[in-house]
Amino acid sequence: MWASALIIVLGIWLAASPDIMEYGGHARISNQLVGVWMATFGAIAISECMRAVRWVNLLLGVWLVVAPFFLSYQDERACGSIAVGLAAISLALVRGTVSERFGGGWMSLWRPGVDGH
Amino acid sequence: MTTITERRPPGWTYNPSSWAERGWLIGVALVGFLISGYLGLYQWGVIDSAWEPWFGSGSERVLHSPLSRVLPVPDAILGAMAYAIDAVAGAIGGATRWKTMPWVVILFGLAVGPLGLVSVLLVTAQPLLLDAWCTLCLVSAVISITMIGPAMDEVLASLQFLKRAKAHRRPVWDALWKGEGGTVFSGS
Repeated sequence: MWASALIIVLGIWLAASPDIMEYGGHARISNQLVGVWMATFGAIAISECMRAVRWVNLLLGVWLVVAPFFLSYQDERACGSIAVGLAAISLALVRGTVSERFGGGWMSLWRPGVDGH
Repeated sequence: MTTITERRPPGWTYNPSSWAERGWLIGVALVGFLISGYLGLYQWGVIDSAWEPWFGSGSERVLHSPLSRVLPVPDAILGAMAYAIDAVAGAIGGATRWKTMPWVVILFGLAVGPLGLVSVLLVTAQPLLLDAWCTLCLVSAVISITMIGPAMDEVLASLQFLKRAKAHRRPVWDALWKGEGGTVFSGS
């Protein structure tokens, strides 16, 4: 699914950017951590039955938008964080095509009754 | 022989236990086993150097870090064992194993899912604790992550099967080990 694939690219960029653009501090730690996990959840969300995992990336995107204020870093690092965060939020909202059916999916496990669909 | 429709879990448009769904996962797990085993042999000192095209001394620093030796066995050896479990648990059982052998499917899911996320944790530790990246460790993590989504659909089908068994007043424990075999309840 293209939105999840783009989130993987964003995550890899985020994790690599402290080394490429040579910056340290809290921004470096935050971006490396969030980047690796964003790419991971993006990859998992490509599978149709795991599409809901994209909501985790929405939360990571929200964190990226507010992180410059909490961790107090400025300049292009803050702009980059907010830009990647907004992009991740937009992409996480895209459900994409789900052509298969999964007997009611994961939610069916918590629903009462014999059949979840 | 059952028909293709009967092999599908109820309410599903495909059969997550078919060989088309599982076969490539076994192959990918075997590649992961080879890579992780190679790194483990380096950690054990059987091989003198580990292949590292991009990050200079990165692999060396990561693979000989204190973190990699927290357990008695080097972490890449444990990774290789996890991939071996992935491959074996991916291979056991027929094309309807989501209802005939739920315990294998759930073992497979536990090996692929949580263990895959542990490998991602180790990857995040590379830059944060050691300020280094290790190419083959990253390749191994990518393999682990690639397997998670495609393996989970089968786990979902088995969990739905167990839920139906419970709704039919069959002990979940019994259904987990014996599947649909030997009982009136068919699970489908």
